[in-house]
Amino acid sequence: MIELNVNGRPQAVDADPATPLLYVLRDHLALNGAKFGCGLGQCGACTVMIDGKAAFSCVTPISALPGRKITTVEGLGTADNPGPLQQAFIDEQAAQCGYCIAGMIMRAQALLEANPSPTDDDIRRHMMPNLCRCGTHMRIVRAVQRAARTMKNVKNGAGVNVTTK
Amino acid sequence: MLGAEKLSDAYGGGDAEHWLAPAMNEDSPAPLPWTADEIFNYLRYGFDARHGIAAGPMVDVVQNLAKAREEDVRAIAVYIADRMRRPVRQAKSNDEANAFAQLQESAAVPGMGRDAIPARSGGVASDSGAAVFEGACATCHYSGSGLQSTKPVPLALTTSVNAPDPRNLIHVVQSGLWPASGERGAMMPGFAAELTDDQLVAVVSYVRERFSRQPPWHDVSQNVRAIRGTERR
Repeated sequence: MIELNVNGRPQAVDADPATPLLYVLRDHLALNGAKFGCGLGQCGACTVMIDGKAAFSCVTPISALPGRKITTVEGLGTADNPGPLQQAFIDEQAAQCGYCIAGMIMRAQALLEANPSPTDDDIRRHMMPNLCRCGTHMRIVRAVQRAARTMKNVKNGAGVNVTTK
Repeated sequence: MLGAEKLSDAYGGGDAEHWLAPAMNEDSPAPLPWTADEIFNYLRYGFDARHGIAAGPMVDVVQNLAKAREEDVRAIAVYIADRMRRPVRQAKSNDEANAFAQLQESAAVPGMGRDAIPARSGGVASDSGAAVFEGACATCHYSGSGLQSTKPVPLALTTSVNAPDPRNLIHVVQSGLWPASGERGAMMPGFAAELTDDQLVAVVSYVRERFSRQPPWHDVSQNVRAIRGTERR
């Protein structure tokens, strides 16, 4: 058994230590947000956060994870109560087919936690490892900027309604 | 004299921006001797299938040489190949070096339906290094896997795995390999976020002991800690 901390909850997982985190999230923990794209760390569809940093879950063996904090897109909010980035992606209609979006959101979350006021250049550089074949990159950049504004307003107590366009 | 060339160390390698510049004389760590064509590939395209990929400070060199005339780059390659005698550390023959590389690439992946072959004895590599290799590296660095388009240079043939110190391998595992924006090129993800320092040490030590016939490195830990935080993407 390997002990993992996923979205703040301890989880004991019975799997080979070399199993990639992505398979455990999807097959053992029913957290299906992170997607299998390439399995080689080249597309970003599987991106989650490990200790606050964006990581490819398809090339991270679970043996590397005891004692570390894993956050998946499910940890940012729910369909009824989406987090700021999730809401911003909805408001900007940043998903087309949607396959890359959970990974995009998690990489963006890691950026905004480290840099609450990124420039468009910061966003492009940071998001570079994640691919979107539909070509919604411009909307994704806008969504990340929108979420950055929302998060700052919430922090400053402005009490904005995050769904307002 | 201050700043003067040490002619006795010509082509003996050195340090460049916390990377190791490998020797290009008889101390070259490359398991297969470089030919002029291969040096040309490396300098012109940043890649040679029998030696490896230009990374670190060499990325800028390749980008700048792309602006030079092809004959000039070829002339440099011919000159360097001529300077390199057959290095003392190289395998007895190319066939032998290739056979070793093939064996190590295809044999030892525990959990992929075969018996585990441990890292070669006498080193410091641990079981945790093997598990990290299997979960993080083997999907690409394993001859039975992957698509032709994702085939990497066999690890046993790369200079960084056979070098006298682990710095270049640590840089690559930590930061990955990224083509310049808009350019084609070899790509490998970095593992700075995925692996802790201890796990980086474990996997780098394991790779050295499994894929190189050179002695194990004993300074992996200090170098991982020194290089941490310098990753670039």
